[in-house]
Amino acid sequence: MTTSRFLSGALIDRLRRREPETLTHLIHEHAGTLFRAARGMGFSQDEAEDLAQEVFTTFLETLDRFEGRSQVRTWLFGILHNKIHERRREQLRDERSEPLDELIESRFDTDGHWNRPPADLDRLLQSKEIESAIQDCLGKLPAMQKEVFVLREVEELDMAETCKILDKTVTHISVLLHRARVRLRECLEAKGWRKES
Amino acid sequence: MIRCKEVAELMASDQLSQQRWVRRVEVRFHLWRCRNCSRFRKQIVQIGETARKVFRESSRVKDHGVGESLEARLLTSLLGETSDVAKRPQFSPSAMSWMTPFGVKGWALSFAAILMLVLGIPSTLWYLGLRADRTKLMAALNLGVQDHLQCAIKGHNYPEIANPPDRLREQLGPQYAGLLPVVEKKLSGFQVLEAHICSVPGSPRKYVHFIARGQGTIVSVILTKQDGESLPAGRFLVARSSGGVDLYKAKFQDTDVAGFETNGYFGFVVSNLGQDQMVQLAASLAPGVRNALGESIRSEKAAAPAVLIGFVSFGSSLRSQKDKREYL
Repeated sequence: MTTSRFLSGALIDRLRRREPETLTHLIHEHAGTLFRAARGMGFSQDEAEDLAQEVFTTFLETLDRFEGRSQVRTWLFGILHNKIHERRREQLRDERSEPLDELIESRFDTDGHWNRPPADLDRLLQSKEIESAIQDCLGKLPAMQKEVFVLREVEELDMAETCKILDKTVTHISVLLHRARVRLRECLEAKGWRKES
Repeated sequence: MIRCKEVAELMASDQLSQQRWVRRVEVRFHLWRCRNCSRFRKQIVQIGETARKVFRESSRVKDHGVGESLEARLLTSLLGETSDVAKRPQFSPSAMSWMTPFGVKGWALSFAAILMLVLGIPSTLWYLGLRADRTKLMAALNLGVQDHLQCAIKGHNYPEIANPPDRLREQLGPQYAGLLPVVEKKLSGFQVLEAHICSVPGSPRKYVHFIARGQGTIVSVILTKQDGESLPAGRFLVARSSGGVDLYKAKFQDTDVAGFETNGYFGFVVSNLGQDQMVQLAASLAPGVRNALGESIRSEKAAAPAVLIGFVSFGSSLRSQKDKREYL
């Protein structure tokens, strides 16, 4: 039995009947990933666990709409994305139209060459403080950028799957990922490590 | 000629692979000769790797809710909802009101409703009862499976060379030390490596856990107090031990479990050796476990005043309680 990628009609029926063995397998395959993603998106342990539970409950409730062609993981992450936005009750800005960050611009001169080259972050990345530094910097990212970063970098989902989950175009995801990475890098550099390079 | 700003954008947005090959070669050449862009690229990769490591490790180690215990809680929660569904009334005559516009006579409707009540409700209740019992069984057997996976398999809380019996008795405490000879005798062909009291992270439930090795694998014998839960009486029963203890079995992915209840405890035998062998082992163990637990309960009741005196006079008599093993 496998529920890792695609669900057959028979498996969907078993899940609809909430057969314990099938449910156990589904949970085993995806619960940890969903929990970790929710944690990465800034939720506490309890909140992340609640979210994972809500995702599975919604998944079972909406099985009729699930097309077996879709990946289970994509469907589950899509539900997680909606749940997160319901919780945060925030209308996300379209960050494509956001004026280009002055911070990023200030890095380059008018010819597009490095004005302020990237500092060496090796010390920070190898230090014990990196865990809190990364969590702190990730926490400061706008919600959509954070989600894109977690899905692409932490969960290592490919671009197509990320686009499907977040219902965005490749261009949009690329812009969000670019901003997330640059801001994270800037944040880490601003934590004083630049001086030690 | 490509500029640093464009290279940095292509790196950070994962768009390089979408570019034409000429552009890709141009970027590679630029990275080879530009130290700053090369460092930027390396840092983008490193930040991703570090974030991955940080979140994966923190999920494993620090967040005790992750792993099998989170899975157990989710399963219990989802299965619990199934039980709730089973408790809800499933039939409502008002739901048939849509038939009236089609000219169906009132008496015919009443007759149909009565017929459905007579024939439908018992079979619906039987089916729902069956499902609820199945849920109850799986939730109970899952307790043993989770402790086996968490403590023995994932936690590897056993030595390669078996701990001496004295130490195992000490770890079990006087209440459960009497179970050790039973397990050693009845698990024929297996060597008991470890015995202790443990718990699954995130749950206050305590497990008396024997870990044995044999037939190229690890077998757990686990006892835990029933906390209002029970196995479905009779339904799904697969065997009855010589001492009259009912046995149940299930498979969770690659893990097989047989379970029984005796003297207010659940007993489980868990491994990957197949459900039938688990049932055989459980059948062999159940009567001895029942007797040992019964003896323990009797002596506990008889010794209750003495324990109190001992506690007042000699605080150290409760020292063994501190030996409970937690594998957080």
